[in-house]
Amino acid sequence: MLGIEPGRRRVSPVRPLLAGDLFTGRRVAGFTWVGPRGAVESTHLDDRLLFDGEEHLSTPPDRPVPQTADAAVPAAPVPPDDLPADRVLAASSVEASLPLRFDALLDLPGAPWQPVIRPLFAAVHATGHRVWLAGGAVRDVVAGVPLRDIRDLDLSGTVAPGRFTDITYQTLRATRMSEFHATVNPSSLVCAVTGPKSSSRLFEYRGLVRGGFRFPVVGSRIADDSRHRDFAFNALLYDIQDHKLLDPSGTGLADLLGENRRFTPLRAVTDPEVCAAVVARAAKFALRWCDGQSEDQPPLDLEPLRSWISTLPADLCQRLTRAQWTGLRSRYQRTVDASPQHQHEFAASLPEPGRGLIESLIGGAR
Amino acid sequence: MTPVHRPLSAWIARVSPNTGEVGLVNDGDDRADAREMDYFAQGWHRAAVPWGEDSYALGLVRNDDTTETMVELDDFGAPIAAGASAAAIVDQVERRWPVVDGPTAEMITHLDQEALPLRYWLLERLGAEGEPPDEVFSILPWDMLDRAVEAVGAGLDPGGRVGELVEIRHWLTPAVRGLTGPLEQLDYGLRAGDPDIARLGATALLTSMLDVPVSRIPERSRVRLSRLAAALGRIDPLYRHTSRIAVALLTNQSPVPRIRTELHSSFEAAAASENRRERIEILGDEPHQVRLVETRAGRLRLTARVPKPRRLTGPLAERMGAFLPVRLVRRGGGPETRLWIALSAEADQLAGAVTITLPRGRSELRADDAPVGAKDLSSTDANLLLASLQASTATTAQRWLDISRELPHDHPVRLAANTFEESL
Repeated sequence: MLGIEPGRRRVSPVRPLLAGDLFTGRRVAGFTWVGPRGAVESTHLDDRLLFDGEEHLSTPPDRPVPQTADAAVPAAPVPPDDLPADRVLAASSVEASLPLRFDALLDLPGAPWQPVIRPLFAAVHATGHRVWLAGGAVRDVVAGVPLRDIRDLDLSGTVAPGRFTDITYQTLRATRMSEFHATVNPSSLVCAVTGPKSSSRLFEYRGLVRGGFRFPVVGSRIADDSRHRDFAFNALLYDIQDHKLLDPSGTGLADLLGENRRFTPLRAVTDPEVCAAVVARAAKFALRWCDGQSEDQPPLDLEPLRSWISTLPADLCQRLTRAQWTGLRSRYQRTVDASPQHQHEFAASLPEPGRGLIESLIGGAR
Repeated sequence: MTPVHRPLSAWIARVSPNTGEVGLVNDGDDRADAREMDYFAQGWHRAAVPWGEDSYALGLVRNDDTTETMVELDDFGAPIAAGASAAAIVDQVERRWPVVDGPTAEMITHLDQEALPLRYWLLERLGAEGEPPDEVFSILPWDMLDRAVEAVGAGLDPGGRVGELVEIRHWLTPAVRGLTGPLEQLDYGLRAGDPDIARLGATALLTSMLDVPVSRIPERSRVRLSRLAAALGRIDPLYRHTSRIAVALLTNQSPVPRIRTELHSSFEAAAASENRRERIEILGDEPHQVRLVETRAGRLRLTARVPKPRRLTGPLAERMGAFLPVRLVRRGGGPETRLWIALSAEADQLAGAVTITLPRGRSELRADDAPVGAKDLSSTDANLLLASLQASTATTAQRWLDISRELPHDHPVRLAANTFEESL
């Protein structure tokens, strides 16, 4: 019915260079991006190749990324083959209508991404790279949120930021959308497309995050990437070509669809700002799912979140700089739309330092 | 009144007073528009911030003694270059914001050699928050438009090849929106040898030329655009009417008869007093015309006749079907009604007809847009198309159904046709 022939992969035979491959005798650690120098567009020429052992570098080396693995030993598994088989699920085995719902999301009439998203997926796949739906869109479709309530798409994949931006722009040209802004954030390597006269994003893309460097780096392992996401239910990925649901943490689906919606933090970091951001995002989701008092929403299980917060340094709030507070407050104000009473109740449900953090953020919230 | 200096760009970053390093985009909230952040509500002044060796960036500095310094960033998170003179001009503009009087407009024109993101964001914000005069838009990179038009024009010439690749992106959108997107799509189609994409771009480009604020476009660019519009009119007879109007608008030539008229739902009452049963109006000129018959019952019958295109051999694909777009725009606001009339062959013409109920009050009928093919409708809501099908006469509805059978099962025209047939 979906035009999918089981057992046949419909991807390019081109094998891109991946983290984990051997190139010039060295193991590829990942890819970063340096931004166009004085130019007003970004291409693959802005991507940089990193090898294992370069984690100490303070700035990226001036080493371009080959566009294929022709001169490399393709030692790395092509994701999602890096995941255990039980974390790659046929979408229809989770819920029979899921493939149709994901197709309908991409093709949603009037959705801002509708004209461009299929050609974009096709253009990325033509390079041999992989790209998946990620984050909120996957979580919401799996959870049964009405498709019209989904405002933007998150994507993840194996393409480095410069090349993704180049592919995106060429796709925007082909679909009459070249007046849209294509941006790359150098601090996160998130690539985004924003409409003209608008601050709303159609979609954003981030490569598979790979930590361990002094600057942002993307790699080629879904399992690594999931450790840089906030909660297990936000780490789900969806392969729109083969209609596979990827659950890299192994608990994302259960957390989302269980009797209670469980908040399992995945971040294995100590950076105060990152930890604070996870707590603030917990508030965003918990209040969104509870403040509407929807009878469709399952009860929340915040115990894993509370346990994780209890491991954070007691002086977390004091460790945040002024700039970090400004960014956190801005994000909190922009994304948390719940009554002050519910926000205070949520804060009270958390142990310190989470409680104090949310109380501080409520001060400037709507 | 104290002037308010806020970010122009959507992205800003702090500059470390010790190391000179730039911090996170928007302090980590890159989805926010920095101009809307409470943090910048007041207490800042405009500055050129030292950045690197012998260069400066457009910035904002706190008025107090905190030495907090921000730089404005481009789409890739790099500081937007701006020397002291440019920052001083921005400062002066912001002191009068959003009013741009004669001397201010004159100042702005001196920014024409400054960084593209600076020019873009200044005019983008001015356009959103005020009514800047046309002359300030001269600082935008119109040469990009000129070069892109030349390149596309060369590709449309018989036996010609598309010229230099020019990526205009969003740089002209503060002045004109919806013009360069179709132009780049046409360019992409010609360059990629994809006549379907070229066709989509050509049709949208011609239609967009009818609505652009022409007075913001420099004369040299208007002349080039008009040549391109004329070339498209020569390639395809179905483009001829739209092309002639676009050329006239862009070059201030004598007006071409338009398919545009005022309608009023109270014709019924007026006609009754004059003992008239219907009002007939013919719009456009041979061979591209729409005949309106407005009845006392408040119904409007539109019959379109356009030239029958010959088989094309150029870089644009044949259309799959042909539909004349019609818009009914209500005076005083209200939703715009969109209709498409499916056209079928009648001797040496294409013709189609619909009958609709006029919306209450005054409205304007517009049908100058370039006729589209089924592929142009692939992103249109099937329910919108269904309304056109339901308004069609029997012959015109049959044409919809015939075209739909050639389309993929999920094409909106096919979906609308299926629903229509099921309702019969």
